[in-house]
Amino acid sequence: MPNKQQNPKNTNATNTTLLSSSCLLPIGNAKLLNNNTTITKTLFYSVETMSLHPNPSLTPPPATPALKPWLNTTATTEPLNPMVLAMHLSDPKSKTLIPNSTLIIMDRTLLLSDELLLRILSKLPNSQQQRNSNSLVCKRWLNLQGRLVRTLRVLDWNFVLSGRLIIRFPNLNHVDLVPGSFTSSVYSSIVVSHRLVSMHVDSAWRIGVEKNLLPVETVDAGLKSLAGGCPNLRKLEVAGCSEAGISTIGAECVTLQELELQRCDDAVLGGVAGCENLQILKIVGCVRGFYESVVSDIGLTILAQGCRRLVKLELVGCEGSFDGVKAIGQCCVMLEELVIVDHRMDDGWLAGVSFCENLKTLRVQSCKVIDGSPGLEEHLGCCEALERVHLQKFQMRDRNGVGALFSVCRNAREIVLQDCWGLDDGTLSLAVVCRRVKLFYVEGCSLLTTEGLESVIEHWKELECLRVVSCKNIKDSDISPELATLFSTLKELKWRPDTKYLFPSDVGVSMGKKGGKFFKRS
Amino acid sequence: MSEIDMAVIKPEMMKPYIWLETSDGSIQQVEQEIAMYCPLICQEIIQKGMGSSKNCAICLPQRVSPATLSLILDYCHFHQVPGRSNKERKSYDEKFIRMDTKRLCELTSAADSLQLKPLVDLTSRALARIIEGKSPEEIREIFHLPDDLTEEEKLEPLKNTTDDPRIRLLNRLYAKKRKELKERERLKNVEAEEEHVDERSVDDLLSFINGNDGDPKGVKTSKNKKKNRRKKEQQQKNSSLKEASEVNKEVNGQNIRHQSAEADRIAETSNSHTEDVFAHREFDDGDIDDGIDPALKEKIDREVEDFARRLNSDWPERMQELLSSGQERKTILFTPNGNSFLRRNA
Repeated sequence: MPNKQQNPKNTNATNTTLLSSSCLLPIGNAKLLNNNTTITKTLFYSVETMSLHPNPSLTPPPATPALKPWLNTTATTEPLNPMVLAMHLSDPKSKTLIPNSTLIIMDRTLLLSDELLLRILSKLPNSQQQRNSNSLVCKRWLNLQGRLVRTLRVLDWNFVLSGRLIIRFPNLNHVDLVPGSFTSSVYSSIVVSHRLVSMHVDSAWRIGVEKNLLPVETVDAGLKSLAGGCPNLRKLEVAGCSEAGISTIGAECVTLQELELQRCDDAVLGGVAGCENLQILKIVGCVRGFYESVVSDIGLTILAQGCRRLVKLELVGCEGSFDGVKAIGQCCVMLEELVIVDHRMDDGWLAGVSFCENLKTLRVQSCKVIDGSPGLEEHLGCCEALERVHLQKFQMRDRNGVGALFSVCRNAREIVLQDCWGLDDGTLSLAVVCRRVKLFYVEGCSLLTTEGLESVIEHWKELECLRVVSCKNIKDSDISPELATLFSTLKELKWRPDTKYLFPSDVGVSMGKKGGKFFKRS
Repeated sequence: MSEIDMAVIKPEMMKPYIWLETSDGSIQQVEQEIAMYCPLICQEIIQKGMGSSKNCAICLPQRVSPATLSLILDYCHFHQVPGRSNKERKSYDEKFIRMDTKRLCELTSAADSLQLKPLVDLTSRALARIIEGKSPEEIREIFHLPDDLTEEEKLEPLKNTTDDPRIRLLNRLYAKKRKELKERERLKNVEAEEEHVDERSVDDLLSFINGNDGDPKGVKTSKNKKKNRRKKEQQQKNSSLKEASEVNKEVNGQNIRHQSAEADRIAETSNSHTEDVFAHREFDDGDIDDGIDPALKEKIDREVEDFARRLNSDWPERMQELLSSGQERKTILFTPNGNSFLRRNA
């Protein structure tokens, strides 16, 4: 009797299982597709930025010039010139030349013009292996393949000094010279990497000693060579140059729009002022342990008066104070994005930010302190046009500085706090002064609690998007009814304070769950 | 000769023809609408009035040989006809470019001189496909190119790319991605099994409870205490999670996100449920044997008695849970999974 009763129930259970399992498959597939897309994007990015080139070649052997004129003659004129052929046949070395001329006569790509061959080569996939293969076929293909290269990362400075870079790649518009600016031990397998710098060193290398840096004169000579050969340069990254070198670049490359300067000091900024069309500038003054260059108020003022068309400015490891920031705000009227990374500015610099009238994005990263002494609140001012504030990898233990920062950015509509150590409820309550917040994204702030978050959010009447990720002190059990009501009014809510507390509470009924656990225990 | 010319001219008077002269001096007649497909010939006809007679034939560029011209005219003849579908055109193009490399180069050059861009694109892609993936020696052999690079020039582009720390980092990221993909595939399989387990346990438990009502036995109270503690803790966690999940439902209001959230939760808890699979299989074996194994049967009986006693002792809480589960059913009915849920109950 009990066996007969069980059979129909088992059948129903099996059918239900199949149905539910089929429902899950599309979701899984969608995830896989997204991952593939991510991988593809990464691939594309890596290909774009990497080109590897060793030492330039020495002077060619003397036999080559003898062949060059005739080859060039045949290459330029598409039909074979019988007169030239006859002249060479009458030469006493006619035996050795006849096979060579036979090869040239049979060259099938002679029918194709340079433009046509460039078009064919540009249809090939842009991979390192394909570029190497095309470059090694013959001289003509080597030259044409070089014309297709627009972006280059230089690993060996001699490639620039010898002028070979210009001959080989005449159409460059983006050159990254930073890896080549550090003398690497070619035979060493020790790599020292920083966020900004990466180099091979030998076992005798010590942090803080600047012996792996190229001399300024060498860098300037390379820049002079580059400026003469690449008039269409748009983006340049360079380390350790002087005012003369960057002035040459500014004079020759009129279309330069993006510039990154490492080991930059006030004198170099005098040369940067000559780049009139510069829009995006990144200045790296000091990287502790690698080099210690100083960018101060004087440099910032010179920069502000010279580059009035700046749209984005990034200051990494720079000194300065209120005067420098104020000068930038007053002169660079079109500045929209300001990035401060690991700053060493004097107290009171924050008040200068309010002079940036059109600033839309303020990003502060990797700072140990914001502003030791911001001054009175009525003197701070306010960025009227500011929309976004991003604070990342930030020490927010200084409440005066945090309060001053939120006061300057009180018109912000988007606040992003990522990995801000020391951010507790009291510090976050200072953000109440920002009354127009629509998007609030907080991640990796482990001291923050649910009460602290709620006390701030309830003041933001225009809040539309809330994202809380990896804040382990924010508990689901502490959510109050008022906060739950507030959540229901949001357009977007991403609530993942601590993933280990997430359970599939919707899946199945409680009886089934207990049954499962019942057997698990036995 | 004159008689032959007379005979030929008569039937051809029906359609308009134009005269084309190739580089070797030969002149031939071509239908005008086919030849007009070439931009260069079109210009010559419209702007200069050439090609209307043998004496003022259109002189084609030197790169166009008679054989190549016939190929180009075949291509034009096919593509100038209106009404053909893209699929037909693509299949024709695929067959058209099946020729050796030399003729392909000649065709590319001739099409370029005639400014016939579609054919240039087609042949360029064909040549690129030939070149792709080949080594320098192979490319030289295919196109009969001279090996005129010096040794220094050959050494320039070669570099060991694995020295770059970025590439190493990229490879590490790829390895992570592959591991994640594999784990997700495993999780899928586990999820299917998990669903199976949950459903069977409910029905089987009910049947056993009904079948063994009159066999109570005594058990130590210490075990009961431990079980009660776990039960209470689970209830607290469940209640807080239910609040959060309900809020999420109301806020999002989108089915797709809800489904993805459920999938995430199932995936995360699948590891803890693997033990259920083994327990359930043992249970299945008991059914198949029809009680032949007395030891296993006694074990199951003890477990069922424990469950029944626990159920009786927690009856008031049980009633509350039933009421709350009823509420859950109402909310779940509005989700897209409502049908499957109803079927489970049935």
